Amino acid sequence: MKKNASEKIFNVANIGLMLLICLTIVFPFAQQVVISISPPNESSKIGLHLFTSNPTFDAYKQIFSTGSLLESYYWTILRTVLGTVLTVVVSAMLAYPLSKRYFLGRKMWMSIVLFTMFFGGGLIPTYLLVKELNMLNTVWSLVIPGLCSAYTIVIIRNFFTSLPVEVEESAYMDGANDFSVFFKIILPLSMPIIATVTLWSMVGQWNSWFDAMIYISNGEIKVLQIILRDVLNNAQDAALANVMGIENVDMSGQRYTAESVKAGILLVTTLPIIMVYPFLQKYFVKGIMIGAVKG
Amino acid sequence: MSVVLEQAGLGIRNPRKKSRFLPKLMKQRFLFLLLMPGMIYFLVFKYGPMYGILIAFKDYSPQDGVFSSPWVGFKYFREMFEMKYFWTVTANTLKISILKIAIGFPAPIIFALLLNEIVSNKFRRIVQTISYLPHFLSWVIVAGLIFQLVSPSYGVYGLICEAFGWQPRVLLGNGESFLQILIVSNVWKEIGYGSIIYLAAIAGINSDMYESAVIDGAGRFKQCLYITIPSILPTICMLFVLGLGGILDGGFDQIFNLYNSMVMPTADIIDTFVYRVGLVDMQYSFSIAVGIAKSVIALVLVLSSNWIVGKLSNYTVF
Repeated sequence: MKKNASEKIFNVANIGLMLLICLTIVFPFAQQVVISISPPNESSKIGLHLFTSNPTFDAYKQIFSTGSLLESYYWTILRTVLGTVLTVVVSAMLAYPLSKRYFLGRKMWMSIVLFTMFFGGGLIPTYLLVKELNMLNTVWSLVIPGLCSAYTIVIIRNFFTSLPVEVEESAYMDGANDFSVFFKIILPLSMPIIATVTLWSMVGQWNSWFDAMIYISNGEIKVLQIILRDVLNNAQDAALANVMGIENVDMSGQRYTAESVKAGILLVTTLPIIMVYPFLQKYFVKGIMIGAVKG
Repeated sequence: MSVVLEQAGLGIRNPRKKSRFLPKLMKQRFLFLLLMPGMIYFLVFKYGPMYGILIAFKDYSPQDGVFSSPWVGFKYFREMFEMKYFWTVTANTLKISILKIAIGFPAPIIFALLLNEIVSNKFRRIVQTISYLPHFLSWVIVAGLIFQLVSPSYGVYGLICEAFGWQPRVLLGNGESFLQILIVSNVWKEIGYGSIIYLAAIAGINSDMYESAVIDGAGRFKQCLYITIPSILPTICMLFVLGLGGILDGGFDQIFNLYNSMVMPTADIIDTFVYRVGLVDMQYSFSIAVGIAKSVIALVLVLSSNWIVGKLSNYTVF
């Protein structure tokens, strides 16, 4: 097939556009990296910040010199692990009976789940419920209220339904009960969807900040996102001083600036996600496709 | 086979169906055990808060509790409809949502179509991987990047103004430019991830159709117009209907992390309003009334848009 000129122009323009889109994504992060390792005379000034003559890691040393940020790493990891494990286990367990056509009251249970897709109590009633259950200021307030969603249940259930019945039947013949069939046969076969839900849940937990903002009022549990929000927003200096464990943010004579510390905190909050998501790509792509088949 | 079905509780149709309920229940007890934790969660944390909706019809005070607070009927709903600011936030929400849909909805489709035309598999995969990244970041992080980029005194925006000799403005402090930032950052964040579903749909198109189109002399543009787009139309319709369900959302996380007192008149949306009135000012009854109004309108919108799309294209989601 002969390629004509207009086709060539299109190809070049298309590749150029794709490169431009990638650039808009890579550029802000590259800037943050450079700012975080720039010496004060560069990081405090306006500039492109794509290169530094004299890299220094003092900002990072300062960020990690106090326990504050490490402690929020602990809380973030704790909520992520607890939230993800509970979400995956409870959702899969709930989805399994719902995938069985003969399950008693299946339609009713399914409607109970599906209805929540369209209508909910809303922010304030949920807050009052969490308060009523004495979960405020505990790590459970970050884990339990958003445990399962109807969407996840539907996706897992669709996956279970698509599994061949024969595998289960032979296990039942061997005298296995529903419990062992579910844990020993169905779950191992469902790894693709389990991995997808795990990824969604992990990212969701890691990124979530609003629940920590409203449910944690005594400041004992500070997750990374909240620290970052405090540092970036409003009373920056006080929050910054708090994270850095210093009295005030008078940085004259230091080898770092408020800008480089902020960039450093932003990066250490983002890094785990940047490192994980490319390797889990095939799972979330698959999950989206399963969800799209019957939404 | 029938033994297996029996074991699993799927009996052959029995005239004495009622009396088989208990044995069936017994046989399925493990299934019920699996169901229970999740079902309890749904009943407590999804249906439990619906009980709190009563608060909107009462003069709620935390001391009395939901039950013994006095009924006031539709007092708070009337108050809401008479409040000028409520209509301002509703209009803001609709404006922001519609702009976001108008630009943010076609963007991933176009991106997927263009990406599909990239010949090199390797290059395409790299572009895809990079384009997914912003989706996985919280709005807290993205807001941090935006603060940096648009800062007149520090960011790239300031640099550009310097280079062209423009007078830099505070972009996040001006209603119009704030709106533009909302829309652009929304597209930036979701364009890659949103394209996944369309790429999957495109991958599922029968390649015979393209082959016969080539024989008929159709170029790449014509193939895209007459084969690719019609083939992914059901997917587009489905996502459009689902997207309309969120038309009253406007993007709480994004706006909450970016807005400030200067842009309140254009950037305050229903959700941020509910948050401030409810959890900051503690006017529970009023804010719940606003929340209910929002949910009900959203529900009506989804169902009616589903109906309209069904009429137009014979394709319904629900």
